[in-house]
Amino acid sequence: MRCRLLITLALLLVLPIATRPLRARQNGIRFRDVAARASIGFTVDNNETPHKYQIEPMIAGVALFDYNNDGLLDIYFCNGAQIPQLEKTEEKYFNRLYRNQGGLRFEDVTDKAGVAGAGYSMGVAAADYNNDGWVDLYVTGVNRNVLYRNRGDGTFEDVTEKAGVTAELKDYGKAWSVGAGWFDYDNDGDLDLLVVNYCVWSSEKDPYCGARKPGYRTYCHPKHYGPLPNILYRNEGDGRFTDVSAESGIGEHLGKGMGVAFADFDGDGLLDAFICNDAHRNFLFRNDGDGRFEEVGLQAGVAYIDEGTVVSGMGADFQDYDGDGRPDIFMTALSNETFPLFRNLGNGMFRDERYPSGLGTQSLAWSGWSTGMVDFDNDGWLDLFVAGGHVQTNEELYSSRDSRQPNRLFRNRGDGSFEDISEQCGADFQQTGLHRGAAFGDLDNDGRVDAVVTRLNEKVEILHNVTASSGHWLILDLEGVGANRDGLGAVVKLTLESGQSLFRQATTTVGYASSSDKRIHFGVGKESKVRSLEITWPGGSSQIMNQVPTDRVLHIKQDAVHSHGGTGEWADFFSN
Amino acid sequence: MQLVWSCMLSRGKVSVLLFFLLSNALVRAGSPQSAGKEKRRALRLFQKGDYGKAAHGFQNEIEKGTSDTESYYYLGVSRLRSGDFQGALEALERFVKEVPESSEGWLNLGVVYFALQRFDNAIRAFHSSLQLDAEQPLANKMLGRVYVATEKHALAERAFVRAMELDRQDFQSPYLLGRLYQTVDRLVEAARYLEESARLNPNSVRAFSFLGAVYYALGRDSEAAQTLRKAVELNASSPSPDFVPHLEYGIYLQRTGHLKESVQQLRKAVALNPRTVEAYFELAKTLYRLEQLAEARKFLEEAISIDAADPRLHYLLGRVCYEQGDVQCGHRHMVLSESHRK
Repeated sequence: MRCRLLITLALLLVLPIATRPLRARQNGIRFRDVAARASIGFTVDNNETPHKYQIEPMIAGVALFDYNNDGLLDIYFCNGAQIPQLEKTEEKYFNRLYRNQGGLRFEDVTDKAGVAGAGYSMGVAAADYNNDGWVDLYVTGVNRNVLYRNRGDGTFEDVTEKAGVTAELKDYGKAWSVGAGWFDYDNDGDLDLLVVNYCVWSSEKDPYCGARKPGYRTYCHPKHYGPLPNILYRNEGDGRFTDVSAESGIGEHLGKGMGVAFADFDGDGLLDAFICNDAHRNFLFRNDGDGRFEEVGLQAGVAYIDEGTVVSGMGADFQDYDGDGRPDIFMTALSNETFPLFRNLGNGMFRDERYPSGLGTQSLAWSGWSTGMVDFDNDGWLDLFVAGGHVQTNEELYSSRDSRQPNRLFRNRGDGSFEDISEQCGADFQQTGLHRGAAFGDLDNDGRVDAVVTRLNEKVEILHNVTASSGHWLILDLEGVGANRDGLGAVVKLTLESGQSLFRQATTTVGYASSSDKRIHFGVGKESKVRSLEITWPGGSSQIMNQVPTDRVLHIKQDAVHSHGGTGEWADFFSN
Repeated sequence: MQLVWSCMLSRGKVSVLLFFLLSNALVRAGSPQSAGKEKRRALRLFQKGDYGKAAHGFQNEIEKGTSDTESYYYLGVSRLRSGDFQGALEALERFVKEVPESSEGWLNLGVVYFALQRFDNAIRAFHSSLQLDAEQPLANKMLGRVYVATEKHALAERAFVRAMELDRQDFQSPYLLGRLYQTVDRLVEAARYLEESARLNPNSVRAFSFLGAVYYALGRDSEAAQTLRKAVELNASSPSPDFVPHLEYGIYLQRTGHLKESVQQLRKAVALNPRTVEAYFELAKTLYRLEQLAEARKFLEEAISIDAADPRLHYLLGRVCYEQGDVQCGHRHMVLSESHRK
């Protein structure tokens, strides 16, 4: 194996590597909406009604995942249904799967794949839960959650009942699920499922909110609805799951869950879960390693913002924005609440960095839904993308804020502060709408991360990253052997020749109701070579690679034999 | 920056603003010459602003049985102004029973109800006053304030607009309207009316203070800084300096990263009003960000001694305790924080 590695490495070194002009720390991030060119004319349909049902503004999630293993990211969109029947009575309500044909062209394969969905869909979580090498989908919704097993032949099978992941709650019936995420909380090598539930709702009991005159009815504040517990399903490794919400402690906490994100925030080798709640304190579930989770949001300082108040938590991401090796939390909220940024202090506690980072002032006017901490200009620092739009469709009648908003991009300056550069990101980035879901991944494998964003009742946006002056990059496609096959939860430390280290944790659970590319993307600025890559797999094994060239997608397989300090098997999957 | 407003209103406390409104005079002054000796003495005390002694005088007059119904009125207003709301209530209820055609009587009674957070009674009293005299800007302003306190914002807006129509030169009505719009995030309108208030009264430190806060929320940063500085400057030359401009400027400086300057302003706010929780809270928050944990803790404890039921104070104090390594203290205040939210 060592010999094979050396040969591969030697090949890599002589392969021609396309490089762009290197200019570090540019702020010229630009996007172009290529939805039309990509033949994606999909429109999310929430069946908006004058009744202002609470479920209407809450869709729609999106997933970027490679369902057919051709090395190209495909796209799955969630969609609504007829209200109040909550059935996909017409094709316009179908969820959609688009196959990436290369060259930024896509084909609608929903029917062929059999993934049109059922009920009023909300969100989606993609991962290979059965370790068969094919990425599966879990789709959340108001009245139906669906687990689609990828058969590997371009089709999916609904295995929800068989797997036991219907999201039925003993005291509530089918829970209104918004988000979900795959993670291996017990490090047993298969992915478990955390389902995030929102609130108790039925069409018959939706109250009237807002002024009683035409056009003034509003969606109600979450305080009008009862909270729900979340659900943790343990993967038994045989296609079935067991609801361990009670024994894990997850089910003890009632909230109004929206976004979820995973990271090992305390460095104990166990994945923890952050759930942002809507107008309710956030939860940070610390994994105790014995099958139990302790909710430590208050102690950790992420339950509330420094004002001691809740915000309308929407989407979240859990990555290291300041390069200190500790994952931090970014989340979105509504106008006048600001977007919280919690910096991990490394002692089990976080600090609210909204104002010191400049985000507080810059986000005051905006409402955000899905989000992602992504290095869009490949300078080594994670920027913040926010899908913009108010929860209300008639906010202008009540306040100075707009309902339809553009997305936002906050560039990481690398000194702990962020700069709102949204208006410099190109004309297509200025499109307003009721943006909701967003997922991130490199659709054309050019090293620049793209964003796919949904908006209510309007065409989705495929935001192709066309940043001209971005730096070098590296994308890691992990394959776990002892660990879960997707390698979710693996921590990668990338050290540059300059000695600077970058840290990422593998996850698909990013933002709001959405699922991003499982591959790990690094921007490395001016450096054409990486001094070392250290991967710590779930379960604790690690492997190190030295002198790794950049500007390529590397497939890295976990070295099950040389698990500690070994080099592992890796291959140049897509050199650029 | 809307904490001060919401705190004043939602808890219905008799705030500085209440007296600011009432300073226009609620009193249909009687003539000292036409009254008995005791009453004349009490009226003189009243006019000098010695309300405690005046109340005593009117009380004596009533107990001797030599008084007319007007003494109840003055007794009520004297008690109101000396902070004895329950006593004021008894006197003014008696007065309006005897003289139901007195618009001033109803107006003052409404103020007492408002001070006692009996908002429904207050609304009825102000309406009674306005039925007798629809042209009173003050009754409309007070009615609007009750509606703000009860979160009936559309009705509050209507009352403030009416007050403004009745007196175009009164700076208070646009001020109240601007503050209302600020509270409900109608920031463009808030700016417009606070600007109008500041134009009508170029010495209004509160109008400039909140206008600065609105500019900040609108992203008009340089105007925010300029306006807040102006409020602080005006305040410096005021015979009775107000804590609000220092609080608002301190918050602005804190949010824009000027932490040391923020501490200076917030210390002034605390010194000017040692009973305001908001100033302690913001000062503690800034000190926490500066990692001056011991002092942050001290100010939070001070704030909690004023309002032990405020969950925000316990939450921040819990955070400070945790960061100081005092886990027990941290847990205790987190528990208190959560219990006060229920």
